[in-house]
Amino acid sequence: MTTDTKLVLVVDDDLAIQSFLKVALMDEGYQVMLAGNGAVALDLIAKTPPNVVILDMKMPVMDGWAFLKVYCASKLPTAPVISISANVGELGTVECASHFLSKPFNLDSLITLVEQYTSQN
Amino acid sequence: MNPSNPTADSEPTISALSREADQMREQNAFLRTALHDMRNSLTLIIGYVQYLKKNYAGVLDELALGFLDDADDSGLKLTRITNAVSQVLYIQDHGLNRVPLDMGQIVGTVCKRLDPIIVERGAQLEIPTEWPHVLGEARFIETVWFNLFSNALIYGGQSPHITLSTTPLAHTDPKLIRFSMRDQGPGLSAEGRTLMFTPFPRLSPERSEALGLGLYVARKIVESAGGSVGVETEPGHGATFSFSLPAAD
Repeated sequence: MTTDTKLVLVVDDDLAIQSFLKVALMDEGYQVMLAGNGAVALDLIAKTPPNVVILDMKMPVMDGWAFLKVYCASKLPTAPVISISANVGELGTVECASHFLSKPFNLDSLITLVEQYTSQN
Repeated sequence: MNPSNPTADSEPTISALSREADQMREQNAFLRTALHDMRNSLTLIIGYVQYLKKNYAGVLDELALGFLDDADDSGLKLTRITNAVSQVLYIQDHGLNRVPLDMGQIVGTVCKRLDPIIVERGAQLEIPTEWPHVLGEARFIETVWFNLFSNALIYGGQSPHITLSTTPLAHTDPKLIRFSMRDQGPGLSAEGRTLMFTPFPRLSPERSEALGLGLYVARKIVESAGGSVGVETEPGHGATFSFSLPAAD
């Protein structure tokens, strides 16, 4: 990884969606880390702070809301969080996240958001 | 009939109502889970189609790219169906917030979202510059306008002329404001009027572009906000779709 390669952390318990986002983001030149739940994500962030986090909300062990509660109150470097959810009812109710996208999302819209947030830090 | 209680045989008991409510909750929970899993699967289907279109356009021929466009369109159509079902379920479970709305901003957002179709159809819009103050939940009222606008753009005839207006309704308690959208399209038959705002199949081959769910969703949202929906139309003379919401003052 070169010093200016941006790092994206994808947090989703669906392995197929993890793989898809990894392929799509790496094709755009990003380095990608993967986590299957919020607790694993917090461990990864403490060791290797990402430039942006893509966060699914409904996950086992530690879901997106529990992750955000800890992440946003912590002294961890707070990279912007793009929340993604397959539950339409959650739309607009995610506190502290920088942006919310409902699943299924438009790939170009997600990549534009990642570009926008990674260019800020 | 039970003579000591004349209503006992005809009215449901509390335990029957409770059982019915439990069944409804279970059914809605099942639907929510199914929708969640469908949307996750759609994320992959649409995502990979868009990925292929973005990254493999140079090595695919025109026919293959056309297949991908069709797959993408079908994915988006399925997404709209899951959105419609999700919204109706959400309203059933939670109802709507009733807070003051900036209707000008909501209509502006809808016009922006529909701008590509407005341009493609050569539509002319007449939109009020001032809006009355009403109560509702912005994201859902945006859906109502979006669905009515989509309907008018698709069925409003060639280069549709769409006129929006507002009127306070007399003698209503609470006070209601009516919002109307008039188009110059072919209008609807009596049967069409009856089926409007219901979840029944599309009315005719000419209406095949729509999903047939949008106006039903609009009705559920508006009724949950304390208003009602309606349509005035005659075949050959356009249609005026309207909805009402409680006034904020």
